[in-house]
Amino acid sequence: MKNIFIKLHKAVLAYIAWGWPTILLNVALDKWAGDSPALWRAFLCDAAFAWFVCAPIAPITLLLDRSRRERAMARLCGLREGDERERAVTGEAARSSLLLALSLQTVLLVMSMTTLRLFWNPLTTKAGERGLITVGFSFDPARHLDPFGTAPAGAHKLTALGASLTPAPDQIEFGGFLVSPSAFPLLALMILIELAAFKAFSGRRYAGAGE
Amino acid sequence: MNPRLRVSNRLRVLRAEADITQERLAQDVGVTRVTVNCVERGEYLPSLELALLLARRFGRTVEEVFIVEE
Repeated sequence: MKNIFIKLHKAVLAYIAWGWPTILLNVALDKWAGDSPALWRAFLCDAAFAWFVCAPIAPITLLLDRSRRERAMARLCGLREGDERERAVTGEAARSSLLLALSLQTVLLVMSMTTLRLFWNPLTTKAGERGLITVGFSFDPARHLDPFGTAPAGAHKLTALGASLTPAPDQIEFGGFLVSPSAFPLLALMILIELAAFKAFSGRRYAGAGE
Repeated sequence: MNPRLRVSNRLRVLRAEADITQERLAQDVGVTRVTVNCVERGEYLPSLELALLLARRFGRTVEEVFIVEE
């Protein structure tokens, strides 16, 4: 029974690794050839759906199976055999990649709390000028305390340097959040998970219990 | 590691004396040829386990193969 399960697991992983073109093929056929009652198209659609269903197994396996994870890392680094020096290389690469990912996610997190607004007033009093553009740049984390938008209008009024930037009736307004505020919880969760995983894995290795 | 210490090694000399290739030495101690090359050139400091295996392969002590220069 265990052998059957291992073989099935290997087959699923191989399908995840090599079966992704079925998704592209299915999407391409849907887009350019439209729906078709042909049996092979139904089979292709089912195969693509099966790939989606199986896909989460790969990251879960990598999370739980250390030898597979090391082989995958070595392959990503372009290493073939995997001895102690190569493990040191992949460890260094993983550390640098983690720091890069964390810094990018932090920047995106800050951007999801930052608004940029442009106000254009085409009616200026001075002759020869085409209008006046005002740029408003604001750190606005308060929006995240109201994720469902239940606060009354004007509660999150955009201000810069203490002055209100509410547009006048004859002004045209552009802009908004640099990154959608809805990305905030996902980014925050990813940062926390990455930090917690790093702490957990490095803690286990440092204590000598990882072998 | 203490940054004032530099570790060199006599692997190249010992390998020449024993007349074996990097590939053969790598097979004997269970690492890749590239790793042996990196250790020989001082680019990579081996683990204690690998240092012991290398020394044992040539019938020497670790101190005879790896030299600490202050």
